[in-house]
Amino acid sequence: MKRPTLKEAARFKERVRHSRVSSIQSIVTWSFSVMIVIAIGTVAFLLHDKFSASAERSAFTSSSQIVDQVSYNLEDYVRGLSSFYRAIEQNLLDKGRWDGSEVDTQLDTLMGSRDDIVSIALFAEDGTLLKNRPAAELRPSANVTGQGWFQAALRVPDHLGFSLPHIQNLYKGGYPWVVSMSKRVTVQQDGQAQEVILLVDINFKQIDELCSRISLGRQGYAYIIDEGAGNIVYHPQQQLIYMGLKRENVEGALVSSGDYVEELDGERRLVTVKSVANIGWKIVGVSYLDELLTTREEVNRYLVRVVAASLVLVLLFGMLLARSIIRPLKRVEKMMRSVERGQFDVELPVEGPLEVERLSRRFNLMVHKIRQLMGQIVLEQESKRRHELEALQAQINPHFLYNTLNSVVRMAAMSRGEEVVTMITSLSKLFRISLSQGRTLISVKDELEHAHHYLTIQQLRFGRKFTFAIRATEEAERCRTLKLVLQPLLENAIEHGLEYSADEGRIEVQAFVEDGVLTLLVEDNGAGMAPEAAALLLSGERGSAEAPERRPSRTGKGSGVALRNIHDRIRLNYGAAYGLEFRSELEEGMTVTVRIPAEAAEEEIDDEKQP
Amino acid sequence: MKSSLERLGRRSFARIRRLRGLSAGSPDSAWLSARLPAALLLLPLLAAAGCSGSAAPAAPPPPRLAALIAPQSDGALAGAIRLGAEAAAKEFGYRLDYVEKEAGRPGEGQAEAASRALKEGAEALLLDPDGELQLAEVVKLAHAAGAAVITLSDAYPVDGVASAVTIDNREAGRQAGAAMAELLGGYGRVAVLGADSSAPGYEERHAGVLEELARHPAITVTEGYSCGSSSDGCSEAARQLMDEADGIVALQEQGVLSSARESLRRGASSEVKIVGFGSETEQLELLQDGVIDRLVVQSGFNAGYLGMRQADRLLRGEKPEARVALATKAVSPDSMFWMDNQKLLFPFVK
Repeated sequence: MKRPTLKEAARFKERVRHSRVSSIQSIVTWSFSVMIVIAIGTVAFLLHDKFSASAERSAFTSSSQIVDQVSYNLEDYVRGLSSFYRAIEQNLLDKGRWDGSEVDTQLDTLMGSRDDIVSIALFAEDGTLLKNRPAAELRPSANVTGQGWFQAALRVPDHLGFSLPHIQNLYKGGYPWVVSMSKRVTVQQDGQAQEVILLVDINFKQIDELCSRISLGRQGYAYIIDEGAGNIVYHPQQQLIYMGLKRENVEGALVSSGDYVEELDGERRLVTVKSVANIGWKIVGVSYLDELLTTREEVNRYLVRVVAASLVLVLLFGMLLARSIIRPLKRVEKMMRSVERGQFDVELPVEGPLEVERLSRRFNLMVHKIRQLMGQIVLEQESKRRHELEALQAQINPHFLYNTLNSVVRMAAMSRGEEVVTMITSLSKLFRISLSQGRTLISVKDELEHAHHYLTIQQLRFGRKFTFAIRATEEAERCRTLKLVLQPLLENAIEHGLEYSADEGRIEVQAFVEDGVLTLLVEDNGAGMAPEAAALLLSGERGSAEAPERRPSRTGKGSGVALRNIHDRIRLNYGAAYGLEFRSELEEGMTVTVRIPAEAAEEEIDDEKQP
Repeated sequence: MKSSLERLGRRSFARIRRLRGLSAGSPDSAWLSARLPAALLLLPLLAAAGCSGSAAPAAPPPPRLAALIAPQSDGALAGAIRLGAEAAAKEFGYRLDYVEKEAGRPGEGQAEAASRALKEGAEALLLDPDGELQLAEVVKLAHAAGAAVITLSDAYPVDGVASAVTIDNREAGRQAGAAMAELLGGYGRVAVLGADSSAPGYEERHAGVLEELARHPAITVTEGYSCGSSSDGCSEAARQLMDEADGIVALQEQGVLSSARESLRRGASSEVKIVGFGSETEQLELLQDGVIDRLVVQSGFNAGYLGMRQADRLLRGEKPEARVALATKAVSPDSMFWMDNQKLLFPFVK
């Protein structure tokens, strides 16, 4: 059971190998697909590289742009605050008087112009509150002199300092986050110089919101550090950092400016640092590189999908392409097969691609040539046959000559001189027409004359045992015919029809033209034959044609054969529509009809003049 | 009235966004960088085959939803928890709903809010439970909906809580006890103003305070007073204790406030040392003024942040820690305005 299946499998594999894999169709399909996919893959790879690089670059650019913008905004904001501070300074300190409702109104107007001012306060050098707006009671536990902004103002006179964001704890009623602007100013009051410290507290919310809104990708953020000490001014996760749940590489940002990539807690981050003028802060933008990698992965996945889709498309396209190439070739193959089977009258339509068109044309030429050669062979065979037949025809039966001469001798011995003359004359004429200068076609007139001489001789030989008559229309006489067509027919009529007949025999030869067909009739009243047998005379094999012969032939050659030869000669010369026809009834005689196309013979007379 | 800064900020952001759009590539605009190679590569082929379906890059999945259930008392701690949870949700890529209970239904507040959140499709519920029964009900609802429950700040022995982010109450109590011992110089009478709540956290705190004070043999401890969240009861208790003790350790916010007010009322406030728990604004003001001497504080921000981090682990299929301990810290009037304590005590920028 197993061996045959194995063998079958092997055969199947072989067939597949031959029919599929090595076929042009699959070669075209696969090579086309592989080529395109390699091309697409290469382009995809190159583009992917380029795009990843440019995505990374633009991430760097956009990150630094964002940080730049924030920094500009912050600078702008700080500038605005500075001028606001100057305005308050002028209103409050220029005249050296800060009491009175006029100053209060001015300050309130100024504060009303901005919604980010928490409070304004003026302190003496020892921390005593001189004035504040909005007016509020200073907490006894405020510890003004210990505050950072106070000490900073004391340290550097006439310099506007910005504090880090801190909790304002000067007044009751809440702990707002503020950034303090403070400056130590020398004021002339009542002719006395006095050192005062002007404090303006700004709500930190604006800066906080500005920073918390910054989005650097999904996870990215920005924070602010103080350039001097590296304190965190703002950080979205400041509490986590204080509690040690998060780390921030502040040192790295502190010493650098511009872009750099760092690794913190196993994550690669792009850090962009930008200083903010006037306030001494640095904005640090952080974005996560693995988000960029996500972008890259997405591009990857997309490219894979594209390549897969294009592979399918290309396969389909390749198959169609291959099929369109293969189809005309298959047509050629089919045609060749039918030629192989012997069908030569085929013709390939000349169409399709150039090569196929050429192939079709060559194929057609080849088939045409074969057809031509075969036609030639047929022609050659036919003419060979014709010549054979003619040669046979042209042979004068030696028996006939021998018998005739014997009859002449016998007549001479019996001194029947007149008959001898008639006989010799007929014989001579007979031979002259038989030769006819080797021509195959002679006029009907000559043919009939030949028949006449033949019948005369035979009549003399057989002692006038039969009579004959030859009738021909003039039109028929002028026609041409194959020579010696009638003689075998006459011989047949005499030998088989009349020789054994008890009655006086009669042979009648007629020639006439009917519908363009020259008809020669040989009619006898001899033994005849059955109509079925007569019908069989020309058909079938030579053997079967011999079977219905009426009598054994004395000529040593079946008269059936002779009749057939004539029939063949006519058909070889004029085509299948022409030839012999037999009509017979047993004991009633026989009529043989020769049908030949009527063709006029012009030079007949000239021929006769030439010996 | 909008400030000039905000206006400027908005304008420049819009400009940046435009710029980024033009340069076709930024970490968060993946589709832009993905679209161009597509167009270059296969536009004719794809267009011919109508294969545009594969051309659109996969949209990022919508963020998963977590819900933070508001507690009954909407104080500073609750706000800080919310801030922290929101910070973590942004960091880990979640959408966080803050679900407040509906007004006028005090009894079933958290459970009702939880069922609303679950209806919205929340996969994790974060809450500072109002009580054990409330929590049990929330857990039941969440389990029915296939969601996880994470408790913040307070822990109750309820089964089915995936993770509890809570302060170590015993350690907090120890810190309070140590602070009191330090204030008294290791000598004196200390009264513990207990809580009327049955929450296990307060008992732990209590135990921690006693444990620490017991290490100082010269300190005697008075127990037995407790007060709840009503100021009347607490004032009464505080008044009595003021006469008996050199220092009061109050376990609950109301107790701290009542003691401080009593101390203020008597004037010359620093006589009786007050140590308490909590970081509500009023407590902080009293701390600054020196009426309260020490406050043991926890970071609500951290509680929210760590709770959300646990939720993230849980939703990613990892096993969360059953218990996450939050650090506590004793703050004095001097140290309350230190840089690192400012953020802890005042998480809001108003």
